[in-house]
Amino acid sequence: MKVLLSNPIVLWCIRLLIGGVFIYAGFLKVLAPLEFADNIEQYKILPLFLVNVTALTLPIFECIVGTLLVSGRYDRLASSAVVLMSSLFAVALVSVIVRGLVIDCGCFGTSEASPMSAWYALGRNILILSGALILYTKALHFD
Amino acid sequence: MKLSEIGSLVSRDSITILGLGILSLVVALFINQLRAAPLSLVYQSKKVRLLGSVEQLSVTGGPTNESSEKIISLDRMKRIVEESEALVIDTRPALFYELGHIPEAISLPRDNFKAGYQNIRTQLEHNKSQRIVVYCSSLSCEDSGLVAEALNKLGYTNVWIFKQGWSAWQKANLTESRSQ
Repeated sequence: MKVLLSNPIVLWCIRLLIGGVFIYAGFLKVLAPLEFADNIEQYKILPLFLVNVTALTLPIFECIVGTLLVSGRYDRLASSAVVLMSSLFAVALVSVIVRGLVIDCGCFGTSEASPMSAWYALGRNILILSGALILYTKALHFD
Repeated sequence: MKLSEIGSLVSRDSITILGLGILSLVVALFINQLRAAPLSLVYQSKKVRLLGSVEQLSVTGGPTNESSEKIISLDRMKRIVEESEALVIDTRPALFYELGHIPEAISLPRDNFKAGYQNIRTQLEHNKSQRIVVYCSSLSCEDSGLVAEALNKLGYTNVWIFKQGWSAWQKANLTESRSQ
């Protein structure tokens, strides 16, 4: 496993996959900021005055971080930003599950809410977080 | 690598990430200004936006005082559809309607109420006391309730909500329609 995770091709695939997911997710949300604002509001975490600013800013941030990750030149910075974001998303999703809210996570634009959608999103998020942690650890060693 | 070196890298990265956040905010505000309809910086709930659309629609017939929701069950909904007893309205986003909806239902998405209402205005306004049933995706969605309230405010007196919505209809393996 350790050998596999040190393989440059595997690391490249992880970088491309996570970077691609962030660029795709960010782009979808840039196209529909109002729908994303509604998604954010459903989490009932942010104060209302921050909802629209977050709906506008977060997708751009995701696109920038995704691009940095795909470029392969700023691995440590980009992967630490992914770790930060994924951790925050995970906390938000856990709080949704604990409070029993049924929401559309808003991760990739608008989709239909279901009782399982927060669980799926959390699983996906943990995978991304794990990948980003691998990249971050490798980048630290490289530096 | 020493722990102190890692700490220094983490703090340097944190500052850069903060900088990227500020850059994202500036770019986001710039892009927002280029939109045909820029997003207001103050969030308005779905309900407030919908009622704003209702106010902009100048229709004859004043608002009703209906406030309590009139709910119908899945069994009742089946009979209504089989016997065409009511005008059925799908309040989900247009894309979901196109992917599949209850037979004979027409689309009036909550997220595009004003334009959607104008499209079906003649069909609706010829009889404001006709029975109308609205639905959205499931028990957890609020679109059907919001649209029912908006229709009440527009003077419709016989608006019902099929609360279980599209997911219950699908689970019961009932007939579906798709838009071409």
